[in-house]
Order: sequence, then C-alpha cells, then structure tokens
Amino acid sequence: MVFSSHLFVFVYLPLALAAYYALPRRGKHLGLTLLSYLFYGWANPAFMLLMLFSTAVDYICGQVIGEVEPEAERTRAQRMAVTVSVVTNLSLLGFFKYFNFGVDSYNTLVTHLGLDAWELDTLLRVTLPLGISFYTFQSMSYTIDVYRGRSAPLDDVIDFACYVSLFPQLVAGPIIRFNELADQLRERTHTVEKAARGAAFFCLGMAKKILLANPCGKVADLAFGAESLGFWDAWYGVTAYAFQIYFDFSGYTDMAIGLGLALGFVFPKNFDSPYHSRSITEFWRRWHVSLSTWLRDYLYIPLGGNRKGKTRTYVNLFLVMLLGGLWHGASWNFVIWGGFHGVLLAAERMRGKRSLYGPLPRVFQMAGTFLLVTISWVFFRAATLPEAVSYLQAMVGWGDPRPEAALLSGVILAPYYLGTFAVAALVTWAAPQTWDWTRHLTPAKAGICVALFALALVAMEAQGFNPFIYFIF
Amino acid sequence: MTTAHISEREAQAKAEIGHTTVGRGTAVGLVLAFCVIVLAGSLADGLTGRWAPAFSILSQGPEAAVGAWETQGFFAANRALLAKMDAFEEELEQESAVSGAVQRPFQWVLTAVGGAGNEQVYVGRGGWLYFRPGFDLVTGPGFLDPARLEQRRRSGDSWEKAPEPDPIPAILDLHRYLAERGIQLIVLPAPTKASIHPEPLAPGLDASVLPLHNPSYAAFLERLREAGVQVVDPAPELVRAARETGQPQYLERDSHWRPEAVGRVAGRIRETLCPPDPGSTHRSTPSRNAMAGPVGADLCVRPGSFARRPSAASHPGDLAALLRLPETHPIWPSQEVEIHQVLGPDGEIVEPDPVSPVLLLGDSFTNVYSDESLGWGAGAGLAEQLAYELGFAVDRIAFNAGGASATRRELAARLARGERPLEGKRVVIYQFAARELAVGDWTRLEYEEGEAREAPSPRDEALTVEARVEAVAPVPDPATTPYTQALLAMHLTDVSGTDEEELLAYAWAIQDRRLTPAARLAPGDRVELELVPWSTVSDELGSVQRLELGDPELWALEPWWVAEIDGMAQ
Repeated sequence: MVFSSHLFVFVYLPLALAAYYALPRRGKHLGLTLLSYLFYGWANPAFMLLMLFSTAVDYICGQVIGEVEPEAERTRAQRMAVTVSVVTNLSLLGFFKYFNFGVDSYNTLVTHLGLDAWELDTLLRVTLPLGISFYTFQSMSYTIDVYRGRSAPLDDVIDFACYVSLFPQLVAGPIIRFNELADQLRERTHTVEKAARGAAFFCLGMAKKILLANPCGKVADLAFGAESLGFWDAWYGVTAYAFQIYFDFSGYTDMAIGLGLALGFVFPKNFDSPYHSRSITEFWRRWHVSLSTWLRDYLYIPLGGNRKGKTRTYVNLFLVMLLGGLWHGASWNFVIWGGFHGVLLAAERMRGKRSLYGPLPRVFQMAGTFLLVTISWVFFRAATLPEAVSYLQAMVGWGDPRPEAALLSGVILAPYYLGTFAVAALVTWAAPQTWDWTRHLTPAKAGICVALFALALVAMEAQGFNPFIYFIF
Repeated sequence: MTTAHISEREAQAKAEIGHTTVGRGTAVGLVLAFCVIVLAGSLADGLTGRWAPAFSILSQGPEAAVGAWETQGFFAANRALLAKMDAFEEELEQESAVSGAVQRPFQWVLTAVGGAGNEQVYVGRGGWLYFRPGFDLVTGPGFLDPARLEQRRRSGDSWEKAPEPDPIPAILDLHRYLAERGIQLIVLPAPTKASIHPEPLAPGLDASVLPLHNPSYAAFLERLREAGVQVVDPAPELVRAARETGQPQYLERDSHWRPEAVGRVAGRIRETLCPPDPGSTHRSTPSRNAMAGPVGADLCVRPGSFARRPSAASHPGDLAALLRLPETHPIWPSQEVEIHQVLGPDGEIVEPDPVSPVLLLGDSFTNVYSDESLGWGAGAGLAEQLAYELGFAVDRIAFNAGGASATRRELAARLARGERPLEGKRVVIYQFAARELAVGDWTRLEYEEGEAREAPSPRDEALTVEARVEAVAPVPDPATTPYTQALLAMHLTDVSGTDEEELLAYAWAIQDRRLTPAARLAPGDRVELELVPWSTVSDELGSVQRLELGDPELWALEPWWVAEIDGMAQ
C-alpha cells in the first residue's frame, strides 16, 4: 500500500486512525502492530512472515543480550546473540536483494569467458520484499544498540513488533533507530497541536508527491526511455529526475512524519533542503539523513572512521558510499553512483571538507553541488550501465541524435510539464522547508495546506502515473 | 559521539516538530478539515453502497486461498489471496464516486490548458493524439537489442509470465510451417502513427527522414527477407501518399490508419501477389478459384466482380476516448471520414470466405472500418478492401489487440482442435501493429494438427456447471487499452454438471472500459456457470480483444461461452 493511493487515503487511513484512537491505551501498540502488518501485507501477504521472522529473531537476541553497561565486558552468549541478529538480517537482505544481481553478474561473466554451459538458470527470480532494506536496518539497530549498552531491551514483544512494523515509516523510512523511539514507545502525548502539525505535514507531503514529483517523473521517464535524445532534452530530463526523486522521497517522508505525529510519535528529520548544499559533504548531511547517519554510526565508525589516518579515512568514506550505493539497489549503476559520491567525499575530505569549487560565491557552490549530484543521478536512474553512458553522452552533446529524438520534445515541452518543472525549481530553492514553514501554523497556512491536499487528491484520482521511487529499495 | 548525535537528532526533532506554534482554533480547524476531506471520500462511497462489491470480492479471499492451498500449496494460496486484494482495490477505485467526479474534469484541464495527455495518450499540435506504445516504439531502444530482449525476458512476475520478446523466431516458425504446406506468408507490419505523421510532435522535422522507425526495424525486415519471408512494409508508401496528396494517412485522434490508407495497403498487397506484367498495360487480377502453382501467376488471372460504395463514418477516436475527457465537454469534435464499403456480386457487404485461398491474420488495423464496435463503420476494412483488389473474398482471423500472438495462437488452436483453417489456402497475410514488435508477446507456437472432426461438435446445448477456476487470463487495466471490450479465457476443473473433467470458457473481462465480475475471478474460486457453445457467439464476438491462457495443452479443448456467472447474466 502506498500513501498516495485511493485505498490508503479513503479507506485505510480513516479506519486506522479511528481504530487507534478508539483503542484503550494498553491496546494501542497491539492495534498499531496489527494495522501495520495489514499495511505491509497488502503488497504481498507472504512478506508478513518475513518481517515476523526478522522481528522474532531480533527480539530474542535482544532478550539474550539483556541490559548491559556500555563499558562492561560482553559474554559469549551476548556476542553470539548480536552476531545472530546481524547475520540473519544481512542474510535476508542479501538473499532477497542481491540474489538476482549475483546470478546475472555470474552469467555475464561466464558468457564473456565463453563458458556458456556454466550459466545458471535465470528462470528462478527472487521477488524483493517491500521495504526490506529499511526494516532490516531498523531492526538490526535495536540489537546493536542493546549490545552496545545504549538502550535497554524491550521486554514487551508487542512494543518491539510495533517499533519494527510501524506503518508510517515502514517501507520507505526514515530509518528510525531504536533509541530514537524507545522513550516514545513507553510514553508519548497525543495533542491537537501535534495532530494539526501532522495534518500539515501530510498535506504538504502529498502535494509534493502528486503535484510535483509525478509530473517531473513523467518527463524523466520519457527522457530516460528514449534511445536517442538531444542535448537540452537530456539536461531537462535528468534535472526533472533530480526534482522527482527529491519531492517523491521527501514528500513521502513528510507524510510519514505527519502520520507519526497523528499517532503521537515524533520522527527525526530526513531531508534538510539538500539542493542548497555547497559541497557533497554537506549534501550527505542533508539528504536521507537517517540513512547517512545509520551508515556512519554502524559502518563508517566501526571501520575506523577517521581515527586510523588520512588514507584509511578516505578508503572508509569510499567504502561506505559504495555499500550505500549497493544498499539502494542491486546493480552496477548503484555501485558506480555510490563510488562517485565516495570519491567526491574523499576529495573534499582532503581539502578539509571544502568542495573543489569552495572559493566561488555561494550560489555557484550550490550550483556546482547540484550539477555533480544531478550527474550522479544518471547512474541512479538509468536501467543499465550502457544506458547511463549513452545518456551522459547526450548531456555533453556527443554525437548527433537520431531524427526520432525530435518527437520527445513534443511531449515533454507541454506547458503542464514545463510549468511543473518551474514550480519544482522554485519550491526547491526559494520556498522554506516543511519543518520550518509549519512551525508557526497560521489560519492562512492551514488553508493553503488543505487546498493543496484537496488539489493533490484530485490529481491523484485522475493520474494513472503514480510511481514511488523508494519503494523498490 | 554517536550517542550525543542521536540525542541531538531526537532532541532537535522533538524541539522542532514536537512543539508547534498554532492557535487552538486553527489546530482544530486544520484537523477537522483534513478529516472532512478524507472522510468525505470514504462516506461518499461507503454510505452509498459503492464499497459493497469491493468488500464482497475481498470476503472471497480466504476461501480462494484455502482452495488454492489444498490443491497447489502455500504460494498458490498467497497468490489467490493477493489476487482478491488487488481486485478489491481495483473495484474500490472503479466504483468510487470521488474518482468518477474528478477524473474527467481534471484531465480536461490537463489537456486543454496544459497540453498534456495521460499515461497512454500523448498530445501533439492541432489535436493530434498518439498512443504511447507506438510513440515508445519509435523513440525507444531497438527491440532486437540483446540487452532490451533480455530485460523483457526477465520482466515476468508471479502473475504474468514474461513475454517472449523476439518476433523473428515466432514469424519464422509460422513461415516454415506454411512453406511446408506450399503456403506463402506475407508479413504486414502496420506502421505506428508517429512513424508516418510525427510533425504534430516535432514540427521542425525534416520530411526527408520519414518514415521514422525503431532502430531495430531495418534489421528486422532484413532478417525476415533473408529467411525468405515476403514482407510488405507500407510505411514508405503511406509517407509518399501523405506528401503527394497533402492528406493525412492516419486519423487525428485514433490510433488507426484512415480508410484511404487501408485501400492503399490492399492495393500494395495485390501488387505483391500479382506483379504487373511488364509487357501488358492491364493489371492482372488474382483468381478466386486458382488453387495450384506459384502465387503471382495462377492466382492473378480473373477480374473480380466487387464494387465499392461510399459511406460516412464519424467517431471521436479511440485515443480521445482513452483520454477520458468529459463527455459533455469534448475538446475536439468527432472526426468524419468517408469509407468505401465493398459489396459482393450479390450487392451485399462482402463477408470473410472460409474457402478463400487467402487468409488474413490481423488485429484492429484489419478490423477498423469492418468491426462496428471500433466505431468507424463496417464493410470497409482491410479484408474487404483486399477482396475488392483481389477480386475474391478472403478468409479472416482478426482480434482487436494482441497482434503478436492472438491470431497465431488462434490458428494453432484451430489446428489442434482438428479444424482445417489452412485447407485450400495459398497465401497467409500476417498483419500486426508495428508497436507489437516492442511490446508484444512473440511466444513460439507449435502448429500441430489434431484429429479432424467430420461432424460439428455434439455439444450444442447449454450447460449449467459448477467448477473450480484453475487458471484465468490476466486482465489489463481498462484505462491502458484503446479498446472498450475484452474477453478472458478461464480453465475450469473439478467440474460437476457434465462428463467433462475440464473446460475452457470465455467470458467478458472488460465492457465499456469497466472490469466485469469475471475479471475478478482468481484461481481457486468455485463458480456456478451457464455455458453455451462458443460457436453460438463466435460471429458476434469473434473479433473482440481476447485475453488468453498461455498453456498450449488447453488449445485442443473446445471453447465455451459463459452466459451467466453465479446467476448473473453476462
């Protein structure tokens, strides 16, 4: 189920909110867990078993580890428990996310070596369970935090199942670490102010997703689906994709935060105007913050972080981004995308976290960062590596486009798409972010939220094109 | 440091969104307005009974899952349950009052003001509309590109098997089978509109580069011709005709060619079958009765006796309909065309002739101007124009949509059932929409002749049976197909009420762009059906888009038509 669907908005959401508020306090987490499993199982009922399994393993491991002091020595059983948790979660993630990629890569290799007889049967394809990348990271963080002594284990299995399955952020984040939510699972408030802020977040998130991300996504789809395209169309297409992925993902996050508030939870910020960044280092402090901090705390720092010398720091940065790329998807394009960012981060670290264009005025630094990020989106969006290379060639004007490329302009330059593109640019660079804009809610702002929500719902009902990018990660 | 940071993030979150400056009245007003919007949609549907059919479908889920579990295990049960959940969601959206009220006006604004189409239709200048798969064929990657073929081969899921994307082996199989029986195959890809008339999308395009084609198209033609397959590519002629006459060869707001283009293509096929004698000023005309010798000689001996009668046809166009604009506020008027109905010697519109030496396999490019359900009149389609050009009626198997496999599959099924669809045939013309090259399922088929039935099937009575749905053809979203109707095939087992252990039946899947109850069936469902022999409805429904099951084992079964499902007439 996606937030921007008829079923969610008009059936699931009202029933879920009504059920949640109708339940007595002691039953809220059980109710929320059941609602979340229904939400998750709607994509595929069998996936519920997988999440249940992951939850059970991590809960038991947490119980085995028990409450520990950060400095205390861990017992063999505690070490074993955290190992079982990490290995189980990574195995699930690895199998479901990378099995197909592994088989395809192996087959490509043996075919190139002329060993066709060694090819594996590609008929067996593994279906990627929805949101597995998010909830395995989230669930794993619980046992690691308990093991590190940063959190006490949860005794109530329902509370833990509720944390893992919490539907607002289950399938596309933000990745909420256990110790960010532990207190709220025990105690949280439900106020009309919180609900109003939540409604504002949800309205604006829906508007971002439906009114901006979807039309920009249509332009991007057409551009990336073309065999050949002209210079300007290529830039228009990839910039539209930059807007699509930002408004799609940050819009979803806004909706998740809004729903969380409606249920009394406060989730941390996941986007902080990333296209305002003046360096790639800054970009990763502003983009998908919950993932970048997760990777930093559970991967970069355990690898040694910046404590083992400069060279090791650069290698660690590169490795973390490479794995971050692979986390997004099982393809060489994501590896290259991650590696590209890793190289840029390492290069900036060499310059004391300053960008390569640091001396330029602020607006040029922002433009430079946006340019680099946009170029990297080509690898993120293109279906294959050759398609990414071909797209980059079009962006530098390499070779004459085929006559058929002229058709594309006739569709993507329609006033509706151009207008949406312009509004997306305006909102990206000239509008305040949701967090700031909704901090002081006036009647006028409330009216704008409601109007945008209504318009977004009208568009949602009318549009056939309603993808959600981060659902596949 | 990590702990500090986490605390900082949590604290920041709580400080920033945990505390909101908002007046009590504004907060209450905003929450109420939000609830009113969400509840308005729910109540509008829930209280008016529009949810009832959807929840009825959902309530069948557990039973279907249990049924599937008992016979096929866990994954089948999961699929059955998921099928019901998907059907529930589709039904909710289809029946929604909110959706129904806002969809068309919003699309009107998008198209009339924003110049944009929808997921299936693109808008060009001057009200020209383009069907997306045709546009994608021209602008997209080569359909024979190995990476593209591989990508499509891996595109299947637990609902629908991946298509066979390479058209060449499938066509060559048919060619070889026919050649062994002395039958010539002529392949006729109907060009997509964007190939012939790209100007409304690309006004500055140099006309000398037309027709536009997919990067693989030339290689496709070359490989077929190298293998000895005769290909009639009408694209250059249609471009030439458009240039010379100044008249479009395609309908502005429909995916099909104009009547003049159909006539030209029929003429071109005639020239292919009967090349002009260099020493003669007369054109040769094929012989209806000639049954031996090479095509182009003895087929082309006798003048025909068919006449053409002009008639007017008017329709908004299938693409305009697919845009789903308000019926009371169309952006464009209906388009009017003059069609030329072909009359036989008896003065009646010529009908397909089962004993003709020429068999036309086709899709909606064959049916347009012939099948009235397409909205452009009758008696003037490609089969009729061929009759006029050749001088004798041709046989025809044609379905709207699915040109990559529907007609080949029907041919194979008729052969498997012991019918003799190729008896006396000298030429098979295989027409399909060129867009099928990039999106069609080119499954390779085995053409195996079953035992001939001397007498018609003894089953000419209606049957009332109770059965389990073993398999049912997947049904597309009606918003994605330019046709308003479709039939689906279902495989029935565990049948009571007849001696047969299994049955193959067809039912309506889409009517007037709406999914029917049969479209909601899933494997594992038990149904009570009233069936009549397919032959009783084949004349009426023979050309309707058909959603088939892939299992060739089923083709030998004699098909039935579902007249009633669970007491409801179709």
